[in-house]
This record gives sequence, structure tokens and C-alpha cells, in this order.
Amino acid sequence: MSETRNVIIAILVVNLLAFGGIIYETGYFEEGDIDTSTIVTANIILKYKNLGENHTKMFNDTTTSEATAYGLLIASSENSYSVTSSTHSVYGLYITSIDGWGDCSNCESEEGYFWTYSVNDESGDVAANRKVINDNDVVEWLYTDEY
Amino acid sequence: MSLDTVTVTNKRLSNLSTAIILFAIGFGGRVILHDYPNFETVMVSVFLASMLLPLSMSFIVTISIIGLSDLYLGYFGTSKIILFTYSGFLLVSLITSKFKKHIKGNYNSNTVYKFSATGIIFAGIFDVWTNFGVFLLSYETTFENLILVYILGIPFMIYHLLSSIMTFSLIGFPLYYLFTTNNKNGYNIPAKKEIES
Repeated sequence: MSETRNVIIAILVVNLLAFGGIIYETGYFEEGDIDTSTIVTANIILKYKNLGENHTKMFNDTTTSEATAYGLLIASSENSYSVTSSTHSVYGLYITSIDGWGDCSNCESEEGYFWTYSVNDESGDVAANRKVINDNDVVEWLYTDEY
Repeated sequence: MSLDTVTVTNKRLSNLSTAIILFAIGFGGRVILHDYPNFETVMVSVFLASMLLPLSMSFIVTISIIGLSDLYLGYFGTSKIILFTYSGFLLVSLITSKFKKHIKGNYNSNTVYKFSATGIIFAGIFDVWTNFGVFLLSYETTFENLILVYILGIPFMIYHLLSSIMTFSLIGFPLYYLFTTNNKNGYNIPAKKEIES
């Protein structure tokens, strides 16, 4: 019976450590609530590297009630382009397609391409829905195959 | 005259039954958990198959689990990375078979810790190998890109390592104990040389 108790304790110990580690890792995206309810007016640029270096779309002075890079993307998409997104178990929300680019899983010409964003020329370091932006910020979404 | 004795270790089930059960755990777990890419039961099923079955049979179980689950989930043939994932699991199977004498243990806490550590090691080996495959298949082959691939893979690897601790201790250890049993009657079988004399 004491051996069973030791086994149970051992299983509890390793699993508590593992579970704690997983919570710590995935808890990165839940570091408190982020206030994104501010209304901001910012600029958004869409760049399609697969179409050429100069192929861009710009939407200036877009207003959004969700003050994040993702919120701005959605706000400027109305009547302009489509946006699809998904959620990664580790990295959180990520954009799978903008304006139809990114949806074509069988297109060899788009193999390796993905959407990345930057705010005021600084690459996004968190999921787009957690990147708070301010008035007059420039958010650039780039469809690229370069890391 | 002292008799050399051996303690008989019997498996409760036949090899075929064991293989089928382990296949079900690996296949079923992968299908159910496919939304959680780095939380899987394939690794622990492959490990148990290699601990309990002959090498050839453990290879068949391994390939069956990942091949049929890939077919079911629609992943089969979608990417060349499967070359590395399949060979990665076979590598784990091979290593387990070669070192099973060192890995196996009795029903005690040390075996729990040993199995948990084994889970970490195998998850690490698998991730290092498959990340190398990502590097070869998706990046320009430079040393900087090789480092980049492994740096980008760290969050996934950590998650996989930690989840392997859970699967190896919660599934691997109990099932290993259930699948094997020692001859508890203390019946000592004389060694062959004594019988012949």
C-alpha cells in the first residue's frame, strides 16, 4: 500500500510540474486584461510581396473601436476586402488570409507565404488582437515568405 | 546444491491484443486531440509498443497509428514533413527497443520518474529531428536559418515536452504496469542447466 501511495505521489508531482509549466507557457497570452476599447483613428497598409514590392493598398484615417492591429484590420476591411483568421494553441490569433490571399492551400506560387504585421515599422511581437495601437499609428500587413 | 532461479514475467495479453489496444490509444488520442498539435498520445503508444512487443511489431503499430490517423485527418501526403515525422516516431521506437532493459521497472515511484524522463527525452529527440526537417524543406540552408528554426520551435517544443510528462506518467506507466505482471507466487523455475543435470 505504501508503494501505491508513493506511486500516486510521484504521478501527482510530475503532473503538477508539467501542468504548471503548460499554464505558465500558455498564460503568456492572458497577462491580465488589455484595454482595447478606445476609439482610435489610424492608417493601415496592405502589402503583397508575392505581387511585387510596390503592390500596396492603403487605407488612411480608419477609425476602430477596438484599438488593436487586428481591430484596425477588421475596421478597414468593411466593403474593401475579406479577412479570415484562426487561433493557434501557443501564439493565439493569427491571420490566415486578407483580400483572398492566404486561402489557397494548393497554390504552389503562394507556398510558404504568410501574413505578418508591424506597427510604426516595428514587427508585431504579440498576437494582432493584443497589440494596442494609438491615433495616427501606421499598421502594415505584409504578405511575405521571408522570416 | 543451489538452484539458479529466474522470475517469470508474463504479459497479461497476447502480442496482437496489446498491439490493437495500443493502436486504439494512439489513433484515438491523436484524432481527439488533433486541435492541440503538441499534445498527443502517439508518442506514448509507440513507446509502450516498443517496450512490450517485438521490434517488427512495434514498427507496424507505429506506422499504423500515424499513417491511418493522417489519412483520417486528411494530413496524408499534404507535406513532405511527414518523412521526418514518420521516421521520428520510428526512431523513438528503435531507441526504446534497444534500451528497454534500462527503461523498464517495477511498480514504484522510481519507475514513474523514469517514464516521465523518458517522455521528455523522446519528445526532445522527435522535435529536434522534425525541426531539422522543417529547416531542410522550408528554409535556405544556412547556419543562421538552422538556428532560427530551432529558436522559433522552442515554444512548441516546451509544450510538447511538458505534455509528454503527462502522457507518459498518466498513460504510459499505468498501462505498462497493467500490460505486464510478475509471477507473484514466488514460484522459482530452475535454470535449464540444473534441470538437465
